[in-house]
Amino acid sequence: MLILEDVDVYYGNVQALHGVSLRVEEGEIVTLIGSNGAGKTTTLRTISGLQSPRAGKITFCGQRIDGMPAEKIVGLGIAQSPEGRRIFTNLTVRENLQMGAYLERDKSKVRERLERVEALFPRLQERASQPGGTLSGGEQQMLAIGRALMTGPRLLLLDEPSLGIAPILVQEIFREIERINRELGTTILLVEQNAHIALRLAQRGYVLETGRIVLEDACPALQKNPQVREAYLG
Amino acid sequence: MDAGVLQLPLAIKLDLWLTDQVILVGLFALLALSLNLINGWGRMFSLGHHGFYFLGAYGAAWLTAALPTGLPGALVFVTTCLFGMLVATAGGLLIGVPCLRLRGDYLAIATLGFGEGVRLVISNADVRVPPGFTVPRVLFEVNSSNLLMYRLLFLGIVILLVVGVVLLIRNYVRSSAGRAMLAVAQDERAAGLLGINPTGSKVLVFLMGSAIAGLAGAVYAHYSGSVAPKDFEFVLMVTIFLIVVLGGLGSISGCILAAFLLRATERGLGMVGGVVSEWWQVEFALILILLMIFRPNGIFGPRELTDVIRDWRQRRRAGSKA
Ligand SMILES: Nc1ncnc2c1ncn2[C@@H]1O[C@H](COP(=O)(O)OP(=O)(O)O)[C@@H](O)[C@H]1O
Ligand SMILES: [Mg+2]
Repeated sequence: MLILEDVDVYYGNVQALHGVSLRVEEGEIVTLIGSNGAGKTTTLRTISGLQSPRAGKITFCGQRIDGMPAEKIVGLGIAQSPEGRRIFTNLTVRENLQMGAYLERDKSKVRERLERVEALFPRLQERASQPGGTLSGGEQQMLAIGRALMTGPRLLLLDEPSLGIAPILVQEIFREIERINRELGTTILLVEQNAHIALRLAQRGYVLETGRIVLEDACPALQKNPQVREAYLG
Repeated sequence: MDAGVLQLPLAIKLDLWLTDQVILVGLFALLALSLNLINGWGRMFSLGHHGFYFLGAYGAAWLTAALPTGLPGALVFVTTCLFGMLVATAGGLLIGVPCLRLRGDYLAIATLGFGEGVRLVISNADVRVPPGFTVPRVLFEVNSSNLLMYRLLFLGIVILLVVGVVLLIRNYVRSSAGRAMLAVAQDERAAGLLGINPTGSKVLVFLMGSAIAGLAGAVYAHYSGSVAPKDFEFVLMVTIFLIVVLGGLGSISGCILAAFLLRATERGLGMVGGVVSEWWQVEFALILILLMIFRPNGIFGPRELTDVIRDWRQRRRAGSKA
């Protein structure tokens, strides 16, 4: 479904990704783990079109998407819940969600998606008319995921959904991520620093170190891998 | 005309003066509302709004003079106002499209250069002494006996336009495109991830703001009967900006109230100051300083008068229960 081949990304003269190749098949949950500064966010930003690769190829469902502007890529069915959540604090929770359906002209579809998202995260329905900025960190994360789902994606990119969130809510959010995959059939690429929880949820994983993919395997194998155990599960 | 006005009874003179003041307040309200669309709701920092006002006024004045005489007055009025709006929008397109692709403060510098440059270029190209246009009266011939009628007519037009622009902004902010504007204003990247084209959204808001300023300029040209470059200097931009900041970025009622307040204090100081016409500089500096200290977000902040009244009532009710 999604294929990255030898992708190089630079910030000015500094190279952040070195020949990154990875693939995500339809229906999978794939995780990309790595420590702070490894290039995980850069990878997702590049897939979403916020950053252009200097070399390499990205294809989604057989179509080249590298170099496309972000708003086009959303329309093809790739949504992202960005690092740090970045919800619109001055819009209400409901308006944040509706913003996700910006490209959808069919009102009944928007309503259907809204019902689905609010069934998934009932807290968002309870707080529908509150400004987004008044939510707790965990609720904001749910809102960011919900907003991404409102675009009606086939592939959902999640950037560190556990970052800075109370452990109980992390559990809840990861349960919902699994449901999104199972019940809605949405393919998921999950970026995490918290390797424990990511490797438990995903089927396959990649390990990113200073801009390079150094390992790739099924998650149970990665969990047993001594290298991974020492660096990420210690 | 002036000699005739001097002989009018005091009551009529007062009426004339009052309508004139309210019309000017209305024009300032239009300018401030349209700048607020760009600076307040859109969070783009534009310093060239006086340039769009200028383009609207000059566009309308030029076309009015260029059209053959004998056409129906109302038709000429509407056509030239639309033309002024169009010229201002074209100016907005010219400066907005290249600048709004960039992020940050380029816009402030570029629009400042635009607002000043467009006036300087046109006034230097103007060979008349002093430079400027006399705008033929198209609605009806004005003399001292019907001057009040004329002003009341423009008062009606200006009030209608202010109401129209208020409704436009209210509906826009609540529409899908308007919420996209608010989203882009807060976080362009996050908005892009939802399929919003940030540049497109910003250009649209910028053009709406330029068009309204151009319309205000065109109405001003018809109302005053003459336009001259000296009416569009940077102090005008400072005034509009001050109204927006005073009224609150993103507040409609604040903007209108601030236009009134600024005009009223300016007049008041003008009377106190007598011949010293530079009092406005002291006034503006003072208002800005007081604002920074007491209301850094403007009179109502981003809220509306109605919100403030509702909160105040709720607090009073809560207070009486306790
Ligand atoms: N906007 C930016 N400008 C310059 N360098 C950046 C920028 N964003 C990230 N980087 C650098 O790119 C590298 C990868 O960062 P990032 O993708 O955010 O890592 P991760 O998400 O894995 O923590 C880091 O060295 C970081 O300093
Ligand atoms: Mg990151």
